[in-house]
Amino acid sequence: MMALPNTPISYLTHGVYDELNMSSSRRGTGSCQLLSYLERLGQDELSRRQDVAEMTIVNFGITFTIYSQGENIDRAWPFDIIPRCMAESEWRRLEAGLIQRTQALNAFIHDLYNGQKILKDGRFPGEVVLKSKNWRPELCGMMPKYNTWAHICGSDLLRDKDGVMYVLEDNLRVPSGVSYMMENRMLTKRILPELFHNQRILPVDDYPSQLYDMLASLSPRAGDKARVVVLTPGIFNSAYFEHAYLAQQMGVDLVEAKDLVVDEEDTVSMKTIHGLQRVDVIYRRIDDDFLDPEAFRPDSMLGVPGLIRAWRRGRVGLANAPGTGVADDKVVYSYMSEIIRYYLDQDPIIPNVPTWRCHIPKERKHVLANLDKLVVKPANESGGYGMLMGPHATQQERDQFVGLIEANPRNYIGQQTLTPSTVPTLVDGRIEPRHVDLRPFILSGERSWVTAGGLTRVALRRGSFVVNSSQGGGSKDTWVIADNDRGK
Amino acid sequence: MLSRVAENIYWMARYLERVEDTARLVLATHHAMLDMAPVSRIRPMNWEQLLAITGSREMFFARHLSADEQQITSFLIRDEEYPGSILRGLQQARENFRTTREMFPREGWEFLNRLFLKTRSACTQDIDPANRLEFLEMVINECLMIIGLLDSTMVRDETFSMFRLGRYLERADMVTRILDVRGALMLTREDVVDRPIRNALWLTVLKSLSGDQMYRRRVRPRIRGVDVLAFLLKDKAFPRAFRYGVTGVAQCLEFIGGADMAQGIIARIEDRLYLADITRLADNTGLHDFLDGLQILLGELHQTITRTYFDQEVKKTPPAPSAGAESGASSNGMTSTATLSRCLRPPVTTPFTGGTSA
Repeated sequence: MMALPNTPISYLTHGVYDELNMSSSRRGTGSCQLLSYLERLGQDELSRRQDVAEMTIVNFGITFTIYSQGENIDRAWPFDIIPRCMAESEWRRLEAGLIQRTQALNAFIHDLYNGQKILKDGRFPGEVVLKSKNWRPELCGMMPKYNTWAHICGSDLLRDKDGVMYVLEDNLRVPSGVSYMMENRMLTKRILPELFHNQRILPVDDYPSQLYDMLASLSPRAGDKARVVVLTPGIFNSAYFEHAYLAQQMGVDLVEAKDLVVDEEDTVSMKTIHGLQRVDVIYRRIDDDFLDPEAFRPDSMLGVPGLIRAWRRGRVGLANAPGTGVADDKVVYSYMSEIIRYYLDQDPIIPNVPTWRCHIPKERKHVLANLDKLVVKPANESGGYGMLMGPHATQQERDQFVGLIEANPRNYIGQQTLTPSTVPTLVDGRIEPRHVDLRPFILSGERSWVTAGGLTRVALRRGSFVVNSSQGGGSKDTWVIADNDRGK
Repeated sequence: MLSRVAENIYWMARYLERVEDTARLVLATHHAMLDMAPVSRIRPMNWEQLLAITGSREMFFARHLSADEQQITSFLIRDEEYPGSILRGLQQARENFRTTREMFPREGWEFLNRLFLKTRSACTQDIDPANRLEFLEMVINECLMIIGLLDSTMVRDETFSMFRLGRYLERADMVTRILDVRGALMLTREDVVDRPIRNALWLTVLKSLSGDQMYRRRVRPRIRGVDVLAFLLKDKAFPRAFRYGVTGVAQCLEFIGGADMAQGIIARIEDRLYLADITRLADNTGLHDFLDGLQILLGELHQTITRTYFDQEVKKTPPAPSAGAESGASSNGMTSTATLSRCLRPPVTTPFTGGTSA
């Protein structure tokens, strides 16, 4: 237990890893300035600043969208003013680990669509991939520029009670959240400017430039300035704010499918006030299924007819590449260390959460015997759908999962239950520990680049692990504090 | 620039201008009514004229039995079903801005969003005469702040021109409306409305366009009907004069390019202005017909701009069919953002038909 002297707040944590407690017990890390600063501010001032932050969010229109009953509702972005701190030395190791993972994943995807060496060498079970609903056999032989498929990746990291950071999953399809990472920093600079004076906090604002450079490098046309666009499903999409934000920050057009056409020469153009203009690179924020009605989903009314044809002929760059989703799969995830060793001949820098695969009889037996201790997840879903939280589930729910797993073992994995670390969070004017995760974003093109930190999501409800903004989650600014400036 | 985006910007500008103009109109009427109070037996002016000017008479009387000051101002300011109300105008401008915000400096969105939220919160209850002034001034000031921000920070590119285009067209339209209704009333019956009242009425017209001071400086200190009419129709330098607006539209079209048809219509408007005999019009001979003619040409101008920039036929591959639930039912592909209503106001003369989409 630790008390903040100038406030009636006592900050209690037990049985979990609290990042502030751990840091402050090792004087000299980044959090200690934050701690003494919060002590000096006191409860009233902290609450006042939280109010200012919330006012700013409403005025700036920082929102996420919930679509319900025929209209879209903009909700203000839930934000906690107390930043989450991390030392640069730790961050650099994580950064290297994330680059290692995405390089291996890209090599893996490229291999699957070009030769399938890893399957032939028996180092990865073919049926896992070839039966995946995200496997696109029609794309075999496709060689995207730099042999890179997953250009933008958002990996979720969790620190367990042992203090170790684990990768929970790698989001390779259309990961979102990066705009909120930048907005959170903008807010913290306004709300707690004093803290930026005495320590160097690694900036995060470079993301749009890095993203633009990476996208432009995918242009099939040499020389001229590439025309890059962001493709959004439209204003009803929950991440529309981010789509518009990124287009704005990069200074490129935000297009919808109906703004694009593909002609007989497989050139992609957009409809402008001066007629059609060629598009070179599309940062698409639409799932594969809805990208091109000619290619994947003939029944889909969404998408741009002929887009995949244009991409396969090398007439346009697409990020992420179609077909990338095959690696966004919990079973593929469970083989990450093998994949890293196979393609890079290295040991993984960041560990996976211990995972058991239900398509392997021995591991399935372990999962079924430990349903009350494990988390069971479907392999292909994202966003926490269709999960069983073993320790909190009823016997009936567990029984239901026994049936689900036995009917389709390939589609399920069991994972050790983690207790995510906590960080101090302002709740109703009091500082209380709340569980967090971290989503850094990794760009891969000619070279790799990682955001400094990422988006910290926080479960605002006491005891909750749920960080999704639609279910009582919020977010915080994430500070990677430069080591050499520490403790000034 | 994308056609879809261009259309949203054009309409956003029109709505924003409409909101500001409506606020000015109500504000000027509010002041004038106070001045007129002692001589109200003549009733040279009443609140109902605002319904005629905004072309909303039919819509208003469909839901109101009588028209008093509070009902009319409430209708123009906060009616949620009347697309021309300040509240709805801001809501639509905001929705259009939301889908095009990447084209503007980010403060633009922040300002507009804040203005909308303030207005919405003020409009949860009726705005009584005591607070009306403050509210309308707030709306006008914040509209000017948005315009000022864009004007002082934006690159002079197609986006900026598209925004100015919508703004000037809407403003030119508003000038003809104000002159049509107020002018017709004032230009008649010298015996009924004596000179001081007539002058006060002309002053109201000038004030609703923020033109009183500029008129005095540029034309003469005395208010005289024929001079006011000439000033508001033909002045080249007053930004709220009809001609200035039309010239502004022409400049924007010139900058964006490819708008020969639209320029042709502007040439016709300029011919009419040039040939207009202001003294005769000021004697109320044919003023209404003259203004009506201008409004019809403005309508044609709008149609032509839409065809030139927003609704072009794309050759070869037809556009992808749009998703039913998500992008609405519009069938012409290019303008199918059906959530954003396109409210062209009916001319002063014809009954309001309630059409809201172009």
